[in-house]
Amino acid sequence: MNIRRLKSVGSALSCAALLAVAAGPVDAQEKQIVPFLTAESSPDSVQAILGLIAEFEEQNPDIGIELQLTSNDNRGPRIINSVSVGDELGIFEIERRLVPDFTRAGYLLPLDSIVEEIGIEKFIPGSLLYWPWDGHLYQFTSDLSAATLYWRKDTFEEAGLAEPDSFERLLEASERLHGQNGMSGNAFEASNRGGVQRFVTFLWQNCGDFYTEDGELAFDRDGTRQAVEDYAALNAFNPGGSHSWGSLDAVNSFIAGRVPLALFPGRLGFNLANNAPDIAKVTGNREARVARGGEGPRVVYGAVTSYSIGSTVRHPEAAKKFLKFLFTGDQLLTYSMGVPGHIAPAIKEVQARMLEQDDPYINDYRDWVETILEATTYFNAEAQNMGSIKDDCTFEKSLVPMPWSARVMGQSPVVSTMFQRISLQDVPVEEAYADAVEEHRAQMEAWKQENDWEPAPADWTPPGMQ
Amino acid sequence: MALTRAVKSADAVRAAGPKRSGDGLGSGTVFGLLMVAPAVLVLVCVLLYPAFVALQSSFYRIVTVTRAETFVGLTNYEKVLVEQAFWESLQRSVIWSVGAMTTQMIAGVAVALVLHKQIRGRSFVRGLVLFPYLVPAIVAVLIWRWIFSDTVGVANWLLVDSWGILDQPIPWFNPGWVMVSVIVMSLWKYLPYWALFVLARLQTLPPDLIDAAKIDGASAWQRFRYITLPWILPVVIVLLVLRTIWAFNEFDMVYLPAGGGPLFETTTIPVYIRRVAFEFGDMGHAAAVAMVMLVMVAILTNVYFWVYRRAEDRLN
Repeated sequence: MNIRRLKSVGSALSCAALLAVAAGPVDAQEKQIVPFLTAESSPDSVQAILGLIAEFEEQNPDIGIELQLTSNDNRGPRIINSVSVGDELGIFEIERRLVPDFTRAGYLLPLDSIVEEIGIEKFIPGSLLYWPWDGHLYQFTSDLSAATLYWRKDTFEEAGLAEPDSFERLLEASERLHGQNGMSGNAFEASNRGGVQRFVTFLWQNCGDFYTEDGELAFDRDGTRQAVEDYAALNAFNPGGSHSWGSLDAVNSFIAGRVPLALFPGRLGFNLANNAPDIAKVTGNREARVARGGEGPRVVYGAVTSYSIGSTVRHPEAAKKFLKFLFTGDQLLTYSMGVPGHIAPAIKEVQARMLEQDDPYINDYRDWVETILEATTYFNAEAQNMGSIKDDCTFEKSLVPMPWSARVMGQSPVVSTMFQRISLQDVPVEEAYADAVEEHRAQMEAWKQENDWEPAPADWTPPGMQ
Repeated sequence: MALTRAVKSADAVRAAGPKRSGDGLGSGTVFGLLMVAPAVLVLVCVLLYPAFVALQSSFYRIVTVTRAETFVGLTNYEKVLVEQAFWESLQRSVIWSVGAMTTQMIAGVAVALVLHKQIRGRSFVRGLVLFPYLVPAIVAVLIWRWIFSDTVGVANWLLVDSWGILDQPIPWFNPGWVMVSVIVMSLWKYLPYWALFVLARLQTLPPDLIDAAKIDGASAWQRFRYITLPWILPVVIVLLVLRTIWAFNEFDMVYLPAGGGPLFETTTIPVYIRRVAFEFGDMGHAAAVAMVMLVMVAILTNVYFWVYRRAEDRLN
């Protein structure tokens, strides 16, 4: 065979391969394929999800679910890029801050019908994120998470310290335990990836907040200033590199026995029990009371994980069917048991069933799971629930998302930068706080100048909150 | 037989004389064009077209999520040139690029010189040296984050607890140290790239030159300074050009360790572009930053090639 003929054959084979790829696999053309994008990418969660997908596909042989994994950090840009290039957005985990723009642009399908089929009374009050401006539901809640306080009972007992149920006791423990046995005082970090989530519990229990429900600045309240002072004092007893921690470094530090105090959702407990059972046995888990004297509204950091369906999805009814299947009943229980405690179901009876499971973690640490599940009834999320802490220091969960949250809580959150300046550059607390107040104000006003926005109707009450 | 056929073909071509205009493209030329067409198509699709779109976008205000566009002319460029965050990011990009390239170049040449020697197990070592380059950036960063961890990292354990070299652990991810950590990570990953190319060049160095220099009494340093270094310099310069361009554009090795922080210490230009695009939600502004960066890299590339031509001339 001469060179010329060889080249011709090679060209023909390449073209054939290209055509075959373009045609796609045969079974994909027969099934209704629904993409499913999630950031629940831990091995246990993925295993649970794949099992549920297989079960659904067996019951619905004409529907195929295509699992796509992403990281929490990259979720927003990935979704935005998909929309930009006209990619099909099937079921995807959406950040609350993207909902305003996505809703205005018509990218999301209303999902009210799913809740109506299930029954709204079955959900934990406040767990469904109805859109205040038109009353529809564009995000279906899959699960909740809420932070509790983990503390080393053995270390505390040895040092003669009382159970940490107030700021004063947290500070005393941090001071006394810092530098003892290779430990740092606490894991109340100020990193870009976790600082906001750790700080907000202090903020709210001191009657502070970022903004009001009407979109006015609340970061200049006295309560906010107090929270900043308190948190800065605790942050001084962090491990040295905590300002660059990733999302799980606080967990790993506790598991490694390097910190005796941490404020974190259920993932810490689960990972601790699995990786350091000896430490888990001497660890306590309690409701976080972090303001002075343990006073202040009963509220902690938490979040709703929710899924939306893109309006460009090719098979909307198939997508809704799978969404309802995955996050109700036995399936929701199986999904939640992937990481029990960290993934807390939003449906009351599924939460109750969780505690009845014959699972090693539930059996050994039932009290932890109960504490965490109870915390899901009083959690708040900074970007999802703007203005929940009122001027009179009461907690009334708002469903107004913070539209400019990407600017103040994105890659380099304003509060994280504030605390980093205090601890790494010795900037006085008052100065750093004043700069942060102005930055919060400036970013809000800049966003409002560039976007149309009106406060949510004052007389609207979301369904299921009565 | 094949040689006879080739000679006869060549004779036939010569007898035909030079091609005259109007003769049209020969089948060989057409076939050649068809063969390069896919590569050209790919280049146009993934390089030229996106660059054109980015240039066009830089004259608009584009809302990232909704893609709503408003023509703003040169406003985005004015914003870029006056905003402090851009110049600070540029400064960090320069520090990062210079630091990464200097360390990689010195270490790469050193490793290549060692691998060039007749040492036992040389083939095995050469293969092993390549390993870091095969590791994806995200995996490399995860490994080094564990090594440099302030609570569970082996680096500080060795320095403080095991060898007792230091009294206090190094805060690898604090301001002042975080860029050093990122440079170390990148050195580990890209050292094999340098070593491989410099080694290939070293293997073309005529051994007679080295032997003659030894006979003339030249020391090891003199042999390196006057023979080896000029010989490898053209390759080093080409590597510098390529790696500097890549380093300047590098996102993952810089962003993954510390997310652009702490206190923006690892917010180089690419990381800043991400911030503008996805936090401030303005794709047009981000495109303008990218265009300014493109111009800077192009100027830098021309300087490098000028230096390269001088080095080649001196070698010749």
